[in-house]
Amino acid sequence: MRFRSDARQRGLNADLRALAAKVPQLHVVPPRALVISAGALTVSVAGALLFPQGFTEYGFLAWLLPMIPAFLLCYYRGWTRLMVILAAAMALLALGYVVAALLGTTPPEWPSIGFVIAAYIGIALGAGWFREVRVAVDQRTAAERELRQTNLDLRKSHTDLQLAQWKLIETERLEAVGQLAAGVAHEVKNPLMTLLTGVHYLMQRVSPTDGNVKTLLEDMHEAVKRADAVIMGLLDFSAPRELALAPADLNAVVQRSAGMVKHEMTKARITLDLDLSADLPPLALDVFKFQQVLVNVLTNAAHATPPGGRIIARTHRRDEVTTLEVDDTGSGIPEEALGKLFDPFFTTKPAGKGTGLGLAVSRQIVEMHGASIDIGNRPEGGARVTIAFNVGKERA
Amino acid sequence: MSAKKRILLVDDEATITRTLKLYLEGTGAYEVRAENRGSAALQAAREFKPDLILLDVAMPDMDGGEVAAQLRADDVLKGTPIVFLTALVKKQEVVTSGGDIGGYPYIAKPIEPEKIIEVIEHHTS
Repeated sequence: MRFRSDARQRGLNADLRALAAKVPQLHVVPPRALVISAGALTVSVAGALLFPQGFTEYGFLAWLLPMIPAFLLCYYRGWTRLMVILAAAMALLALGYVVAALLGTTPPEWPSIGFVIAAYIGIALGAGWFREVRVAVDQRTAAERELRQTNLDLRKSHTDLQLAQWKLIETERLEAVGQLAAGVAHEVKNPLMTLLTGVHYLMQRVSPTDGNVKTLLEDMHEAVKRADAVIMGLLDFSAPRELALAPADLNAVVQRSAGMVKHEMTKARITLDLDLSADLPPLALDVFKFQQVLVNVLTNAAHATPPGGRIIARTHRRDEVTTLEVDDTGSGIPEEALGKLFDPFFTTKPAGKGTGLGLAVSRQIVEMHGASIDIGNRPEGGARVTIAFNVGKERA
Repeated sequence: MSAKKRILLVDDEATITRTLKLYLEGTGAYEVRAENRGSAALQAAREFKPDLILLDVAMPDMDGGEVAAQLRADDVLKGTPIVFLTALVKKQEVVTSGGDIGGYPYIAKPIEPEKIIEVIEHHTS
């Protein structure tokens, strides 16, 4: 049983996605180039000040050269972080050289050992700190991810629980409705029998000239039939039912159902056209129950279609999905009614025209077949009822 | 004109037995005896010797099934056709289409009284 859970599930999924998007993405590491640059800038400026003689053109190259193989090593081993650090160090040495030049110092031929040591210590410190932060951040990110996942899992369990609860409530509600319906039906049918018999008795005896009494009796007769239809619908809706499934030709069921409503259509001056695909696979159907659905759908379409209008019942197949569509040329369904069409006792028909149970029962039957039923408005006007069988899903 | 058919109508709802008796007798073709207690049905049938018994199922003192069993056990009445008249079943099936409850034909209430006549005629001709 699916009831309204689909829409609810969709809504909750959207909520969950929104929630996941809100979980903050942490950026505690300053951009790595900035970290290293800041560390090494300090070192190189200090070096330039402390060892002003440490910079010459060649000296600079002498520092740079040992870094090149190190850089290549990092590159081939995939040590990207260290590579970044080395690249930054190279840039910094160049900066140090510029600073020395600006200070107008006269550097000796070879760099000062002290400066090199200071520069490397600075880089190592920067790298170490960087690494530490990285690790902390990695751990934090992992923890975050785990937390988020746990949160999602929790939400999902919560959703599942809620769905299960809804289903339980729905089932219990239906059971209660069923028991109530059976009791009410018995209690109401007996008085209806009395009324019906009485009305018939009086109809035989009323003088043909007494138009008012005749009209009244006819109205009473109609009222009894209506009340009976509501009771029948309620029993239909609430009765637990099993399907007698057998492979059947959907087209044949459509044709038979069309035959059953033909009289009503003709009376209302509505054309009913069938556009049936020859390419349908046999479907597992309870033919009688499915006929009930189709007669209901076609009758609804007829009620919505003005005289001179047209109703088309179409079957077709695309891959694994066999679809039946019923289009009418009525005024369509008001937006606010679309979501309620399958609710028991909801009706858009004028008082006395519908029990509000037809589509509720129809959906139960369709879903018991593993198929789906949807109703929407067609862009060109009128409504469309779509019943879809996913044969592939059934087999799976 | 042939004699009126005798119909025993057993239903705990007095309004049903009263209106249906009026209706059936109003056709001029039937003589109807109404009985509102299941437990009194057997005695009524023995006295009335009906051509057909219309029998409600759910009655407080004795249900239709039990009444039917009593009637079947009676040597004189066992051949009398019984048609259940019940509000308990869902579909408005009429007996000529072959529906039955425990082997007996039935009519689901409410039903157009003309249909009841059809059924009576079907089972008494």
